[in-house]
Amino acid sequence: MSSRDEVLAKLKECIEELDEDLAEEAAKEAVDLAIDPITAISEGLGAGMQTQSDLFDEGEAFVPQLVVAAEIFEKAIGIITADLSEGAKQSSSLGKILICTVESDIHDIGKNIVKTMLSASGFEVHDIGRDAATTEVVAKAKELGVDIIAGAALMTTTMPAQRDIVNLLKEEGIRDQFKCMFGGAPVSEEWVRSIGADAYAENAAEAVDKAKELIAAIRA
Amino acid sequence: MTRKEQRYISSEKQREGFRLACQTKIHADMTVEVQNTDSGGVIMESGRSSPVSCRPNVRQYEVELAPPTLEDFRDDCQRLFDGLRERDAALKELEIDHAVLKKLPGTLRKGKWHVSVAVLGGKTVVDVRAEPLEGVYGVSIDLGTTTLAASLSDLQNGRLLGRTSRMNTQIRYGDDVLSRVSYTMTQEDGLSVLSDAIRKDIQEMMKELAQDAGISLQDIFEVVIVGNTVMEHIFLGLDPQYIGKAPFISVLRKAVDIRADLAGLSIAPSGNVHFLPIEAGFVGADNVAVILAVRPHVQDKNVLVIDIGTNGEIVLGNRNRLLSTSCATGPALEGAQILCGMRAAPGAIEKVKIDPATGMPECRVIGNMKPKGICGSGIIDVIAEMLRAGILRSDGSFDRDVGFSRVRQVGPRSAEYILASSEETGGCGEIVITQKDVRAVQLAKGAIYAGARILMGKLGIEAPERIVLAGAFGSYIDVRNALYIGMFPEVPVHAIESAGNAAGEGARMALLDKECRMEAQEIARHVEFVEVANESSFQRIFFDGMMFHNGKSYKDKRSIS
Repeated sequence: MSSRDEVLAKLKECIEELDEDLAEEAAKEAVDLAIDPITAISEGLGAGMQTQSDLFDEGEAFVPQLVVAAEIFEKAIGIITADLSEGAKQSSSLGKILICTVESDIHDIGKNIVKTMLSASGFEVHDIGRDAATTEVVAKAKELGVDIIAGAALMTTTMPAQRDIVNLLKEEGIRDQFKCMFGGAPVSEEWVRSIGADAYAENAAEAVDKAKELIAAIRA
Repeated sequence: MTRKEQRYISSEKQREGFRLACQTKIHADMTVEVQNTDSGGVIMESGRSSPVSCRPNVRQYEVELAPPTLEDFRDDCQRLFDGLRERDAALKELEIDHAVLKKLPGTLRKGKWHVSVAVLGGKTVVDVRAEPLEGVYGVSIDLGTTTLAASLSDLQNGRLLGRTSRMNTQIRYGDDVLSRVSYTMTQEDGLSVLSDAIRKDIQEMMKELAQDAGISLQDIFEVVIVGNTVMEHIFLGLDPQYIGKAPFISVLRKAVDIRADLAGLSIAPSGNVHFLPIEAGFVGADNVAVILAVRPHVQDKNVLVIDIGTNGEIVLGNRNRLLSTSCATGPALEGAQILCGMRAAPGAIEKVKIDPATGMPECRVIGNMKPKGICGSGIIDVIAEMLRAGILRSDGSFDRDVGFSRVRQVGPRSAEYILASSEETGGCGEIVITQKDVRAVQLAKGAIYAGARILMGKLGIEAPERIVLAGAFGSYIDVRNALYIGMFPEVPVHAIESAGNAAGEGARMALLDKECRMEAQEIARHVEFVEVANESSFQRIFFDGMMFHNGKSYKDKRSIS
């Protein structure tokens, strides 16, 4: 039986070394030792994701590596939080985020990475998938009572769906209940500002920073 | 100078007065000096000249009619039709274009009942002239997102009279099809702006071809256009926005015939403009033309046809079954989105060798001059050579510890390769290959590889028996290097061939031989389109395709596949 610190080190290492078997083993040990999920993420899995994210920023790691890391992360987190109640999951989170690829867009590799990085940083993330109808995005956001709506557009032709989300919130008179954060390859800071959204993130690491800032603004 | 500019312009260049045009506000008339003006690029105009049958859709007839009398009081039109039928019994169901009808009485009498007639499709009289027709000509056009290519042919004997090409003026409204679609969605009159731009380009090319061949535009009776789905929609003034997002629906798929004056082209006014049919989604008439020219649909062997442009199209199969797909290769393979990338113009590095012992490069430059940048074929070479020399690892990252003077460390973990030093470019700055450049190539080749692999899986084959590369890019790349970096599924080098501008060739076939248009309809009906990005295996195969499996210094990481 490994010690608590050894398990946390393993959780970090399995992401850094892209070792799926190690991830499973470490996650089970974390459950056995009753390690707090927040600690398991912040000092273990999340720290590993941070390493991968840094490697990506510096050019050494590329998209496939990040995606594999994200997959291993999701698998481990599934094991660690399997027995937690919904309430317990929520109470431990920095904030609630709804994430999707916007209507008429089917590209979700980037969105999945952002989702994992947000989870790895302690957010409670609800992913409603790709080609998410604008009406569905708003309905789900209301139902789940999220803090932030995050939407990715990977084609210039689907960027207007991000504006549609903001406009639908305004139409329903609930714009002030949600922060809107957008990204995607063709999306820019200027575009996000022009449609009246709250934040633009160029990559997954920035998405985490921006989400933290938005939550801070909400809680302030 | 803004902070953004300071980030992108070296201090040396700043002193010389370089600015970023995109960051500069203009307040009054100004002079812009542009360094390194390209003087004419290398754009592929010719295809592999396969023998083409000449069975044109437009024919000319000289007819001698009996003048009317009180006894023979047939109307002018009937008299003309009867005269035509005497010349050619196949002309059973004749009709006449209204514009021609209006000038018919005058023309018949001016020609003293001896006239030249042009008949379209064995059916419609599209011109009647009092003086003999000097010839009947046609133009075939490959309407690319980036490049336009046109050729002029004599429709009586199939002779090629001239070729020309130019950049698509629409580039100023966006580099790729999606940005063009988005322009039509967001700008008032966006569709007509783009539509007019493409019409003007085509008109100018036809004018140039006619002038060079010494013929009149009025004697051009037919134009056959092939292009990707978006280009065709924009030309026809059809709203392209629903092609631009899932589930990617076009306004129509079938072949289109439209009168030249309605299409906004100044040739013979009642002449015909023909578009080959569209396959599906982004895979348009240009791909039908490629199939027409490369002919996988009549072969027993399984052929993989790869047309690499800004948007790549892939076809796989044989006479029994043909599958097609499109993939977003991006412009990296054409030299764009690469830090020191450029078009294949004088000054572009087109071939690269790297000494595996020293890491020193040896470059061949178009126009035998000092290098200014690197074009698509050079990029394939340099990536393959960096892999062979151990400068790149199989996952595409730089090996900083390779110990070559040309590999320069950047930041704490990254590096770049100096392909040409400042000295070698004659003081025009270095030409470097960055980590980002390598990544752009990985994305592009991963997309092609994934497209091909998924089609192979659908067809249930391990490898194609032949690979045919269509498009300009395929003609210039070093096939061995392209195979080495894993751009295509593995086949022996001799199984790969280049078909040149196959889309242009297919368009010309359809212009000269109306049977080919029937064949094109069959092809478009027969080809099964596969939306590869929607396949559950796409991500895994795409990532696998991004890796360099032939790279020798494979780092011990979890295999992505």
